[in-house]
Amino acid sequence: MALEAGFWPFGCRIPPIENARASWYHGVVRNLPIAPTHPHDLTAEKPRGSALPANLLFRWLKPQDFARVSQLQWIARDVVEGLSGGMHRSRHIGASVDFKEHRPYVHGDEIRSIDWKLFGKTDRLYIRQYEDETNLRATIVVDQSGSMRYTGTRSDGLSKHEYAVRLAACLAYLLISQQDSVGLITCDTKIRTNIPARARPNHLRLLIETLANSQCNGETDLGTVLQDLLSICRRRGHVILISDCFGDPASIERSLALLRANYQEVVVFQVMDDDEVDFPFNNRTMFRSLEKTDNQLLIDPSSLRQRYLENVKIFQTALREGCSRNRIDLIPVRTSESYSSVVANYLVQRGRA
Amino acid sequence: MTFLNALLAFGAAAFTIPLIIHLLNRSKYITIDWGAMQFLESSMKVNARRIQWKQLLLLLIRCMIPILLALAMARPLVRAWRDSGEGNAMSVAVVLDDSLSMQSEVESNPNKPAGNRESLLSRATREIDSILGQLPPSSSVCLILAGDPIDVWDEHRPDALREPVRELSLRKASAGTMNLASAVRAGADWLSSSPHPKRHLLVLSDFQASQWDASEKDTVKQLSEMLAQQPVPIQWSFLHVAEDAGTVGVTATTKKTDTASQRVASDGSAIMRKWNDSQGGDDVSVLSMECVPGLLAPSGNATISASVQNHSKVIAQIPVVLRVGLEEIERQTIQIGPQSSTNVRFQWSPKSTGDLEVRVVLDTKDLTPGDNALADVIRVREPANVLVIDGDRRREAMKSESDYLRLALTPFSLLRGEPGDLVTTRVVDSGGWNEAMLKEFQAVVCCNVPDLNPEQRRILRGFADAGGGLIICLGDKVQVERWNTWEPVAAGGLRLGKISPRVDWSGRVGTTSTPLFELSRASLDSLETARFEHRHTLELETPKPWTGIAFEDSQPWLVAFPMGQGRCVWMMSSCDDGDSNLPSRPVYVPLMQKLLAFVLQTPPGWREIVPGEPWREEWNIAANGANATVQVLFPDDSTAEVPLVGESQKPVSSPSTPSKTPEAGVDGSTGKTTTLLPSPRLLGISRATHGEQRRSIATQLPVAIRKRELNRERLTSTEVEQLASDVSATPSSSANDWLNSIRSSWGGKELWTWFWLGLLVMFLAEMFLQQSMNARLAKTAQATPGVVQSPRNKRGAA
Repeated sequence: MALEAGFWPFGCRIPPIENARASWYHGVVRNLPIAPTHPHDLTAEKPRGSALPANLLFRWLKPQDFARVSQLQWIARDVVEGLSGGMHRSRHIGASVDFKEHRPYVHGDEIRSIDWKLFGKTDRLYIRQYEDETNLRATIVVDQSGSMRYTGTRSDGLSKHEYAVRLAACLAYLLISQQDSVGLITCDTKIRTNIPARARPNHLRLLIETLANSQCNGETDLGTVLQDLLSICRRRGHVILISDCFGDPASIERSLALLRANYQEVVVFQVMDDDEVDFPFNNRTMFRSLEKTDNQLLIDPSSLRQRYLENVKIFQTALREGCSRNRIDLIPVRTSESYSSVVANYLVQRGRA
Repeated sequence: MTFLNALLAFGAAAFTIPLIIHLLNRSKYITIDWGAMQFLESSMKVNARRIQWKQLLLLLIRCMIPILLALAMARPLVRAWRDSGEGNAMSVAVVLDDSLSMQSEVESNPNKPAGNRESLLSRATREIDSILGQLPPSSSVCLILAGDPIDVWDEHRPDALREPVRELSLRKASAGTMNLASAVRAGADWLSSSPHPKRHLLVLSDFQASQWDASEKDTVKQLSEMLAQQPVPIQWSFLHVAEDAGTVGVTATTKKTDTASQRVASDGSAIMRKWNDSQGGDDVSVLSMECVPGLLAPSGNATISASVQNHSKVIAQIPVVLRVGLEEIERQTIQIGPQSSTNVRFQWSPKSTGDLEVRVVLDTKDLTPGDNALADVIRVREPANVLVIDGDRRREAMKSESDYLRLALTPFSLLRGEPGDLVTTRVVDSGGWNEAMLKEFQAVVCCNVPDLNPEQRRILRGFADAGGGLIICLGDKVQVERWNTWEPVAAGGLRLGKISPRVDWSGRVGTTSTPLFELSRASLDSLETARFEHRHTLELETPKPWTGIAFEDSQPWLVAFPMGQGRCVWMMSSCDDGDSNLPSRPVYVPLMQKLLAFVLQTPPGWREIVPGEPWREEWNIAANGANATVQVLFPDDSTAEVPLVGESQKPVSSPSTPSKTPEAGVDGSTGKTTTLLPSPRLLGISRATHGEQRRSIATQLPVAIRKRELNRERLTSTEVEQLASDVSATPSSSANDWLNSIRSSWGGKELWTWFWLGLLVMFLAEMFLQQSMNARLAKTAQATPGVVQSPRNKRGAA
């Protein structure tokens, strides 16, 4: 059963959820004493025991988001390698019931896998192969460079970084709720935090704490960071990049291509503020760089708007084409959009594909 | 440049308002901490300079708007026309009085002695020069010398006319009197075809009372009405060049060393004059002069009488000099009482033949030197004997065929009985002469001879072949059938061709100019009034072109042809009043004398022209004719050198020397060059010399206009102003005064317009620039729906 927006105001009791996939959430949050009155209320009481840090969770995720995300499944488009059985196709041919194919026996194959019935019929040795299912191993990369600190007028007070943190939390929650492993990496010019992927429900707490404590500073060098990621993500899996992708598009594309070559499925959530896309300023303005302290420009924005928009368009096109060439999903995200709906829309779109 | 509303010009300081707004806007800005600097930096590289240029242009335009508004409202007035552009060009007809009175000296400089001061004409030309220097360069100027007869210097640019005007200042005013009406009409005619809508007629004169006083005021008023009735009205102005003559004289009376005399002018106003004691008198003139006879033999005695007038109020002792040519013949000192006249007589006997200029000069330096001399011409000739064969001789007076002819050939002997004529005539009947008699005569005139027998014809032909002159006049007695049987000229006879019987024919002479008998313009005008009632016609047997004068239907009237060493002229009408009224015309006497001179082969010593008439002379080209010049000596001893140029080098009529440019044309077949010489405006004999060839011309005023301005009865400046207001003219005292008077009417207007236009352009430019920039903003704003129009609040880091 889908939860209707507005039906579940903050402070109300959580209604029973019939959906089986939401039961995990139900189990996690049902012990929460009081739901926080506001997602931004940082003074909310800390969670007790080993339960998930509810205030932290609510700080970053709204109940609506939980509900919406919980209905979705992150289905790995490509084959991933998991340690436990799950809902994703595994690279390994396992002992499951899903028959895949017959193939001629060669030396070295297990004798037990020979289809003796077929041998009886054909007098030839064939191996009977089955498809295995496995869990997913996803690494969420969150950009915490200075440019992510920008807060627009139409983003409900959220900076790009705050938005990225919420989006990452949302995705982590979704994946963990599917018993998939989720890791977290925060970076600016280099990797600042690396939390290896785990599938335990308690792992979500660590992720969210890490995200909550991350600070935006410094410049961006996404290309280098993504190349460093190669040594971390050695096994097949997912890399989910949440960033504004400012920088050299060619360098970014090169690094993403390397990731792809390393059997990683890459999804890029490009977070930009509406102001950065529209450039709506008219009056004479001093623009101070969020990344370099000594960089500032005193200009008349209206006269530069057209040229600015052209530059943005060129950048986006370059980035989009680079991702497209490497079969990477690029999801442009505005901070004014709801992050849960972004995730929901993407997953729907991914399901179709 | 000045301003009529100078206070409003300070409003131009309002240009600081947009400047201050601009500077304030520059200092006010909001600060935003921005992430996507990479897009801004690359945009800045491309756009910054262009945007900055547009912004500065807009600022400049906005600054110009209050400046132009303030200047336009301050009504700027340009003083220097030269800076005012092509749009203010105008046409100015300058009527310059060059009558004799303009030779008067300006009395404003008492330090210089009389006779060395600047003349009024010189001062007037200086004023004209000043005007020409300040008129807009594209203006058209026409200079009209208003002395009678008038001389029109055609349309010219002001700069091109300055040099001729300066040369004019060196000349002496020579015309007798001012012909205001003709000059103004000529100016109006010229202005009516002017390309400019602004038309001015400026009269520079000393305003002689005889020309401008009450009796002539009606004429002036008519001229004023005529100017006002032009399709484009002509503004006319008076510039009184002699204005200070009276006033400075008054100041001169304060000097005790000078004696002063007071004179009451015609209007009752007192005119103070300063007299120079050492000179004894002032303002004297030669009223008239007479040479009797004008044509005489070398042994004859000529009486030259002159009337001298003293216009001043003191007794004048004046030496009067008779000059013939450049030689002083006699000097008498006479004493003339105040405002009275006396006659001076000179006797003179010429010693050689020729044309002599006789001049009576008052050897004194007064303020009007132009009227101190008069000149006349005396022609001294050896007398010629002429035999007149009269075919219709009668006893009654003036009834014979040859009576008018005799009168024309010997006018003085008949009228006065004095031996002053160049010709002695003897009249005989048709048969009353023989070959022996002809030896005494240089010319024979046959008047209405019925017929000549073969012997007589042989004698006459022999007479002509030997160099004698022959004139044959037809008439009613002529027996045409017999005449037509005469031997033709080619066969050693006298007959030119077949003569028709005398027929009735009403008409006049057609060709009024002939190179054969050079007649003055007045004589030619008179010839045109001669009417014929009967005539013979002549069918020429010789096919070659004939020379002479034709009737108006091209039938020959006077036919001249060489006969042996002599010359013969046939006249196809009678020489009395039987066929025409020619004998009663003024041209009859000079015509007959010229005819006689022609057949006598005595070239005329001079030709008579009126001032302003073209003076053309024909020269035989010398071997080194390419660089040859013609020396011209004018009556006032001034000289000019005119190049004798060929046709290929014929100069185009240059605007720098209007009506004075010599022109020449070479007739290659005859080796002759025709040169147009500077037309003398001075009276007397002018001489032109080219190598051994000499030509003279006598400049005479026609009797009808032989008036002279002799005294200085001028209008005062007050009277001129009064006159100007009566005839809707603008009075001025100087060139600058006149220029200011016509400047003030247009200067402000013109610049006003330009400033308003500039303001309009600035407004339009401002709107266009602003709109283009706004359109650019709107275009990008449309493409980006989230544009916030006025994000005033400061944005910063989260």
